Amino acid sequence: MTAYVGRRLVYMLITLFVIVALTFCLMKILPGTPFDAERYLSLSPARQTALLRQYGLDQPVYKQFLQYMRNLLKGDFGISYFYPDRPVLDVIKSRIGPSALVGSQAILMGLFIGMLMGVIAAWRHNGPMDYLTMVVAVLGVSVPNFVVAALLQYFVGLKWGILPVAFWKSWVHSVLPSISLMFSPLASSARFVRTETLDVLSQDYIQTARSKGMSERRMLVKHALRNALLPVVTILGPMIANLLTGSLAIESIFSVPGIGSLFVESVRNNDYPVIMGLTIFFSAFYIVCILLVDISYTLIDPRIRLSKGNEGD
Amino acid sequence: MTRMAENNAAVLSVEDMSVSIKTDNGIVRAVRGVSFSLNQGETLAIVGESGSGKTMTCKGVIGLLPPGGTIDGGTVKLNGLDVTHAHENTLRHIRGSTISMIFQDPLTSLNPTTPIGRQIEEMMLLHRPDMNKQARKARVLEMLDLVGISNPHERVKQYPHQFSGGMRQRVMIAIALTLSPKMLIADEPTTALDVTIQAQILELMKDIQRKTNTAIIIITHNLGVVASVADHVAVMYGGRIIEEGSSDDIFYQHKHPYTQGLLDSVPKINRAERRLFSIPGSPPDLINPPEGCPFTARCGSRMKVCGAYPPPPIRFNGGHSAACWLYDGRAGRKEAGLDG
Repeated sequence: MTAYVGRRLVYMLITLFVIVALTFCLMKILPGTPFDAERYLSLSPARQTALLRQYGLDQPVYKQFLQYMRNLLKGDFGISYFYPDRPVLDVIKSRIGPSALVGSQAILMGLFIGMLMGVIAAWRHNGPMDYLTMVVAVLGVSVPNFVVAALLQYFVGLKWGILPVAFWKSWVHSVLPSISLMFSPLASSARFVRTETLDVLSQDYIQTARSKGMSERRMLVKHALRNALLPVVTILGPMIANLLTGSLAIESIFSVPGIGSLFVESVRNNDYPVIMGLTIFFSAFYIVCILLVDISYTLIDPRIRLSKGNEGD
Repeated sequence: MTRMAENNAAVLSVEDMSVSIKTDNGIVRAVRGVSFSLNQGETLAIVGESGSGKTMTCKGVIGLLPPGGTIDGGTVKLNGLDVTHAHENTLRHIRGSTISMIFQDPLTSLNPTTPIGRQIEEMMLLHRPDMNKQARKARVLEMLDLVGISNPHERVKQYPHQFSGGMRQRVMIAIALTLSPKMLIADEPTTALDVTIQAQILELMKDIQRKTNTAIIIITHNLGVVASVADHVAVMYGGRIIEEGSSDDIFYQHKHPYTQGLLDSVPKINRAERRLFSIPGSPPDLINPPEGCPFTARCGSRMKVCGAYPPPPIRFNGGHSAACWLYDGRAGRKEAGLDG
């Protein structure tokens, strides 16, 4: 197990290196520099060149890359160009909170409601709840979350005035963004759990459970759910990574000062160190989530062992 | 509460039971008027090919019909209780404690994510709130020992995938018998196992029956199984019992052409024939069951009357009876009626 995790961490470093290299090149292809005239009207061409030289941006790209990697190995992510004097890590840290709050609320609510609906839909297969679940699942997957966000803002925020329309002042302000983000995990988990539970309910061991004289509820919770959960865990890793790292659209719509909007800003400003820092953060988080999911398989399904034998994927 | 039946020893009595299942293609009349009874310590084998209604008969008895399935006629009395009219909650309490069931495929009938000790213990958690943890654990070990699983202390913590097929069927038997039920239904308990293991499992079931006096219904299409364990045999075809009697009756005195065909299709080691006999044709469609004897279309001795009227059971001796017009004196008169 330890050896397995260790090996996975090494793979993770290799993956990260490839991502960092690719992003670095792509970023350099972007037109403009961090100190373009259209952004800083007062900036004289001479001052511009001086700034570029100060940050080493006049060097060839490969030299810049080597320098960046050298600093990275020392744990130095650089300093933001846009927020001068602020280290990249500080900038990122200051924006994680809102994204994490909105994202985790969306995931918890979405998963809870989605799994509940999925199990009931499968249990009452072809009943009204089943059809409702399928409709919600299809809508949740196909309607983009910014449409949901706009509708929520209009009705809940503006017309009924129950919740604030935008901005980030208190917890109440996180409710609408969370709800807007909730539908995607809700829909996919409902669909997955429904399919899996239907499959599990037709298994022989469910019949065994019934022949033991078990109540339907106990049978669902103790025997069906756990076995239906495994495939759902698979989609959980990417889902969590996506939501906790912020949604570009939702954070813009609700003016949430989160990490997603920071990413958009940094690209728009050619704020290279922040772009790189965020890229590393996003990818590392994603990879760790997937690793955690793989480890959690063993906890849910005793048949899966993370040993030398089956680490093929 | 229902009073105990007059015949104290009858654990199960099934009277003219019918089962139908609603499907997308129509209503399947899976079981059409089946009667039998079973005393303590006895073993009844229900024999028939796939789709003959043998499994649905038993699922009707234990109340585990598939979705859309109902008992739509007759009565089933289990240990004095009328199962057909009992509330689901009452049935749930009976299941596991008074009647339990083991299934065909031991590889899939155990929950893969739960240790087997836990799956045995669950029976007590469900039905015996008076037993404390210690008593339950002790019983689990006792049961594993009873079904011949060595090292029970270690094995309780293991998961089904760590057991072989035969061992898993032993675990299933342990689960089914944990609460010493009056009645055990074994639905093809050895079909998925290889032959040497089959014999062990049957021997184990007989052995436990001697100790606990449990009544057993064994569903099978394997006549070898029947010969080794059953006291009584009911041969089912097209949702009906077409012949029943003691093991000896069925093997040596059988009357029904279908039973004959069934016995002829068992491979015999000392016979010279190269090709194994098989009954031509296929079983009837139970969505539109035939009017008369269900076997008519495939029967070598069929008469006109067979397709028109269902044959009444004819008694031969004691418990031996067969539903076939060949043995009914009125057949000729009915034939004449059909001609006229």
